[in-house]
Amino acid sequence: MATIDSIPKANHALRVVEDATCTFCGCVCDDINLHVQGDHIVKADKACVLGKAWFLNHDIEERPACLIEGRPATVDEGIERASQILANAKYPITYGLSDTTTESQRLAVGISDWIGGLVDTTTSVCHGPSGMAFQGVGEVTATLGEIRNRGDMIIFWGSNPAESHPRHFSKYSLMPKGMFLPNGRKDRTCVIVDVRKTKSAKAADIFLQIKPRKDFEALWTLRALAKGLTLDAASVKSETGIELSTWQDLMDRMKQAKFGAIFFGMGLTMTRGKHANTESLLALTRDMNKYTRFVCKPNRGHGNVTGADHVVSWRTGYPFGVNLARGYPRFNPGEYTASDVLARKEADAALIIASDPMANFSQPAREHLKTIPYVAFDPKETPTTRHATVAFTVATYGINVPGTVYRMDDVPIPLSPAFQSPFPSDFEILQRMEKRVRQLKS
Amino acid sequence: MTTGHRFILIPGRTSKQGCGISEGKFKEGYQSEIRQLQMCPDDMTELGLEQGDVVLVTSDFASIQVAVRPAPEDELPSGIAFIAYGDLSSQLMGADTHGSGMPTSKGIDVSILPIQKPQNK
Repeated sequence: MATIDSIPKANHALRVVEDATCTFCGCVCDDINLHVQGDHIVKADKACVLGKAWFLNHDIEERPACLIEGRPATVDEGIERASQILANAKYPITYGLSDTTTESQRLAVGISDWIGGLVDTTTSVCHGPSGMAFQGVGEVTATLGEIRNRGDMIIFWGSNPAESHPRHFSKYSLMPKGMFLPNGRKDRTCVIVDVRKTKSAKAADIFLQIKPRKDFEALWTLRALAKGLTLDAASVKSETGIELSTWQDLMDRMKQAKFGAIFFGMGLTMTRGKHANTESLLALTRDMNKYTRFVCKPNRGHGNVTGADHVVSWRTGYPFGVNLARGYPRFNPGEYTASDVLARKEADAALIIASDPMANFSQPAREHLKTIPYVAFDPKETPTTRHATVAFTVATYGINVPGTVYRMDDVPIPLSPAFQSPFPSDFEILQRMEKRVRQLKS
Repeated sequence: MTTGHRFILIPGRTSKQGCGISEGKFKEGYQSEIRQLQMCPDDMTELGLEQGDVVLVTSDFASIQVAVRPAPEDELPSGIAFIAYGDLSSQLMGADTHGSGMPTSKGIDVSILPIQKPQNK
């Protein structure tokens, strides 16, 4: 595995870094060939449009490594101020973590524990409801490699990988020739269920455009059909927007499949019903295993959001929204999730790592965040770093920083950085902050 | 909610918005993408809207002003509007997560009111 010392220092000779790992989205493609000149990646072979934008736009920017209240400061001063803010807070929150390494995530959870705070990740506002559903129903799962080699029926529900995970089809789910699918795409049936006829719909053999906010009803229609129950055709059409006969045809095809895989997105988790929608899908997947093999996976957005779930689970027993104030972990989405805690004006300090709540949270949550001291880490300037009491400009994970990330199917992947950054990594800063916070708390 | 035409708003990812995150959130590419509302062409015709017209989009929690553009091909059915995730779409969410940690970020009831034609028309 790469270490900081093994990363080449920037020089102007053209180099090629083979099999580099893209950390923009949850596909975490680890077959990218980067052409590097100085501190600039000039070409990213095999990368998708999002991957190219990721690699080609993370140059070294002319910005201070640290800003305190908007004024340039040394990293040492920033670490001291940040540690004081967190150690002196009564209800500090740690939030973000999905665009950094598992090594940094581990440190952030450690700091949260020392300061008796709350630790939450961007999972809570993407697949947090799925995390709740996994606990309620369980997960029939598989790796992307297994799906690539076996999946002959691929269903996408409330997910638009053509725009959010552009290599999903070609690398994992639809196009590859697999061990048991010698003809690749021809051996697979692709079904897409969505309220919009997205760009992904063009890839589908069957596209079902359901009514908005009717995922729950549509999924329970399929659950009923899986069990052979009789349904009222008019009600099904009225509720879901799709004829009962079409749902029956889909169920027949699903039962005839040898290996079905359902990928779902935030069309389920962000819409009314949220975890109840996802529970229905997971339960449908479980039902299907009475007839054939079926698995279900969320399409995860950020490069290491899956790692954040793993690390927070290892350290606390729960995947996100964990309160450590009493010295032991408590989990309760809605009570201990960052968006709620901020909107209720409960938090009095924050540690924001690799995320942008100032652009993505509800207005009441953002307004409260503006009123409390907080520390932000990001390679780029964002609305969140602009309002931070202490803002660190950090090296970019995967491009400048080694470590480990988790692909959306829970497979750990090592990073192969392209060149060294003059900025410190969040790992280095968090390591020093943890040490200082421990001193302050003792 | 103000008077206007009722729609269901679906915020979501687009390729341009995703690339814009890497290019920089204060750069033109990202900013222009998150400030455009996509509508079904038939709905635009019914509301007398042309590409670039500015509309007021109001939810139970906030109002935003955005330019409209027709959705590609038949991507959106009548009655549904789409906007790329970002600062503006988040303003329309409520803070209540219904015990899930997740505000309702898709399928938001909104009213859409035409307010302005582009200046160069």
